[in-house]
Amino acid sequence: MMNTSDNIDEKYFPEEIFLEILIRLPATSLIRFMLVSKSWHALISDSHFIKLHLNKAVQDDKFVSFVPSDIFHLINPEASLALSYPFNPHGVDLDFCVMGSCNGLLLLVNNRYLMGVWNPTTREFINIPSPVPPIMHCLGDNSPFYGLGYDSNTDDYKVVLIMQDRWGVVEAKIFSTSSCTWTTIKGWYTGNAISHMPFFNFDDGFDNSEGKFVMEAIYWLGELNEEKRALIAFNLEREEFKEIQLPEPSVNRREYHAKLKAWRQNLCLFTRSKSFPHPYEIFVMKRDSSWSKLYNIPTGSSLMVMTSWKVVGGSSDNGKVLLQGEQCNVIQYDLESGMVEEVGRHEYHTIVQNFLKNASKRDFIRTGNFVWEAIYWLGELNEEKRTLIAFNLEREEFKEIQLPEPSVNRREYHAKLKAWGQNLCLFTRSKSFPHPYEIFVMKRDSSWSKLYNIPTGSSLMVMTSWKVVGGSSDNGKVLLTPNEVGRQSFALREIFEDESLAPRPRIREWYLQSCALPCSTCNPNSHKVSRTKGAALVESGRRAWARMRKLGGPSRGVGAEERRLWMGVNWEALDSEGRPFEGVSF
Amino acid sequence: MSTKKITLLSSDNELFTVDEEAANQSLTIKHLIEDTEPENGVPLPQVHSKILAKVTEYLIKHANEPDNDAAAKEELKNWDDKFLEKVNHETLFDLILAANYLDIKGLLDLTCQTVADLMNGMSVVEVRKLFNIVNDFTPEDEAEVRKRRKRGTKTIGPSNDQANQSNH
Repeated sequence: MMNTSDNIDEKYFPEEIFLEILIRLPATSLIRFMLVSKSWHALISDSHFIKLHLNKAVQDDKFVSFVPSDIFHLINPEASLALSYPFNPHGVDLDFCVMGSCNGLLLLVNNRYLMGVWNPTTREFINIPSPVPPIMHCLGDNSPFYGLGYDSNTDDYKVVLIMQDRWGVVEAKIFSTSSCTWTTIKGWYTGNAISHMPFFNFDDGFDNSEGKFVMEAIYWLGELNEEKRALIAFNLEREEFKEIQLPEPSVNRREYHAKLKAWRQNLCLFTRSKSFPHPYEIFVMKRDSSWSKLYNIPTGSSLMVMTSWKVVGGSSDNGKVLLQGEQCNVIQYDLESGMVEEVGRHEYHTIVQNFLKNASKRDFIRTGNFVWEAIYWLGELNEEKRTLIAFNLEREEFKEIQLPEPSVNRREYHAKLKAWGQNLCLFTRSKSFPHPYEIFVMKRDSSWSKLYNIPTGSSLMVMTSWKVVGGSSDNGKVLLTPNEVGRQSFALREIFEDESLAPRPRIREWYLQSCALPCSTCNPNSHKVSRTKGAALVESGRRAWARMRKLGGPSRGVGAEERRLWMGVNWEALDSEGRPFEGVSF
Repeated sequence: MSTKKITLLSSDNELFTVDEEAANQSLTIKHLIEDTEPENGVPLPQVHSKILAKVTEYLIKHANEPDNDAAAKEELKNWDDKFLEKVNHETLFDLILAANYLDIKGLLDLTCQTVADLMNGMSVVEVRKLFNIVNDFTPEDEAEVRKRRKRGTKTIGPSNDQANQSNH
C-alpha cells in the first residue's frame, strides 16, 4: 500500500483514543504537545490523565535513573538528558542534593535549608517552606533524614524530615503538599525499641539520609551505634513509624557497608564487606517485611571489577543498577542477566557527583571556594583519593585540578579547601599523631607551592584541636575555631612569608578567632569590600546575603550573576583590618 | 480437531472467515456471537473491508499467543512491526478506530504505540497536521503557556526569603 495521503479529513478521533495514544508518549513530548490545541492542553494537564500516564509508566518500567551533577542528568539506556537545576537555571548549584524520589518527582534540598519538590520532566518546582530555622539544618552530624512519598489514599505527596533537636529528642516533621502544612510527630519513638535510640549516624561509606519510597512507605537506613544498624519505615497513610528487622549480614556496621535502594517497587539492601575480597550481596524485602537474598556477586567473576565500583545511581525500576567506576564511567548492571553496559562517560559530572556523594557532612566543604573567576570544590573520588574540581564561571566549564601529593591520600590526611586572599589554599592535617598541618597555595598555572608547615612541638600544636573555619580574609589571616565553642579571640605570633605570592602583602600573624559561627557578627558597612575581595565565612553565602540585604543591601542592584557568586563565596567575619565585626549578631 | 468458524461481514458486505478462537480476541465480536447468534455472519457496519482484511490478518496471527517461548514471542513482535510497516497514516487511524470499536486490546496497544512513536519525533505543527487539528490558541495564550512552562516554579506558603528574615 502506498502512502497516498496524510489528509485525514472528517476523521476526528474521539477523546478516548487520543488518550490511549498520549499516555504512550514520554512526558517530555507531552509537555511540548500541550501547545497543539486548547483541548489537548486541558487533556494533558488533567490530573486523571497524569495518573493514567504514571500508571502506564510504572507498568512498562519506563523509569529512568538520574545522576545529579553540575546539571542534572536523566539517564536511560538510549540517551542521557541534561537538565538545569530549578533554582539556578543558568549556573551550577552543586549544593543541591536529591534527598528523595517518588513517581518521577524529586525532593531537592539546597544547602540543607532550601527545600522543594521538583519534576525534572515538566521543570515544575514547588518550594516548601522550611519547618525549622535554617541553622537547624546545618548541625553537622545531626543533619536531618529526608524522604518523599505518595499517599495514594488521599492523593497527597508528603515530605518527611526526621531530626534531632538540641536536647537529643528525635522528632519527625511531615509536610503535606495538598494542605501545605507541616505536622510534627514527637511521640513516634516512644514505647518501642527506638525510644532510647541515639540519632542515626551516617555510614562512613554511604550517605543514607535519603529515604526510599516503596510500597506506600518511606524507609531509612540508620545506625544505632557502632555495631548495629536500624531500618525505619514510615507509613504514609497512617503516618506511623515502625522498625523493620534487617537481614543478618548488614547488621554489623563494623564489617559491612550497606545502602538502601528502591528497586522495582521493592526495597533493596546492598551490602559490601569491608574486608577483602569485598563480596557484594543484595537483599530484597518482601511484603511481609522478611528478606530474601537476591543476588550474590561471586568473587572471582568478571564482576570483581565491582569491588572498585560503587552503586551510585538511584537504581532504575527496570532491574538495573547504576554503578560508577574509578574511571568515572557509569555502567548499568542488570541484576537478573548479569549484563553490563556502559551508559556514558560523564567525566566531570560524575566526579562532581562523586563528590556530592562522598563529601563529608561533618565539614562544610560542600561550599565552593571562589578564586580567580572560578569556584573550587574538594571532593572524594573514593576511599583513597581526593579530587579538586574547578568550575569556570565565564566558560561554565568543569575541570579537574591536580592536587599536591600529601592531601591525596584520604586515609591519612584531613584536607580542607580555602579561598585565601585571591589564592586557593589547601589545608591538610595528618590523621595520625602529632597532626602536623601543611598549607599549600595554588598558583595561577594550577601548580602548588607549600606555603607553611606548622612545626610540631610549637605553641601552634594547639592547632591540633582547632579547625580552620574561616575562609581566610584578604589580609593574609586565617580564621580558626576550636572544637569547643568559646568566646575569646587571640592572636598567635607566627611570621612566615612566601615571596612567590607577590603581590600579596607579607603575612604577619595568625589570627585565631574563636567565635562560634552563629555568634559571628557582620559589619553592615563592609559588605561591598567583602564581596569584591571574595572573602570568608559565616554560615553560608545565602544567609550572609539575607543578612546584608536586611541591613540595606549592596549599593547597587544585584543581578543573578552576582548572586551566584555570592552563593559560591564564603563570607568573612573579619573586616579588612582583621578585626571581627561588631554590633550585629547572627 | 475442528474449530468453529466465524464469518464477519464488513460495511461493504464482504465476508471474512476466521476461527472462533481468533475472533474471540475481539470482545465486541465475542459478545455479538453470544448475544445474537447471527446466521449470516457477524455484521460489522462500522468497518470497511479494506480495514477488516487487516484486522482479520492480525486476529489469525495472534490467535495462539505464545506463553513462555521467547523465540516465538520475538517472532511475533517482528511480525507486528512488519504488519504496520507499510501502512499509511489513514489506514493506521482506521485500524485504531476499528480496534477500539471491536475492542481488540492487543491491536489497540500496537496501533496506538505506533502512532505515539510516530509523534515522538514531531513538532507541534506536524502533530496538528497529522490529526488535522486547528490551532485555537491565540498568540497571547501560546506565549502564556510557554512562559509558564519556562518559569515552572511554584511557591507554597510563605517564601523562604520571608522565612529567613523573620528568623532574625
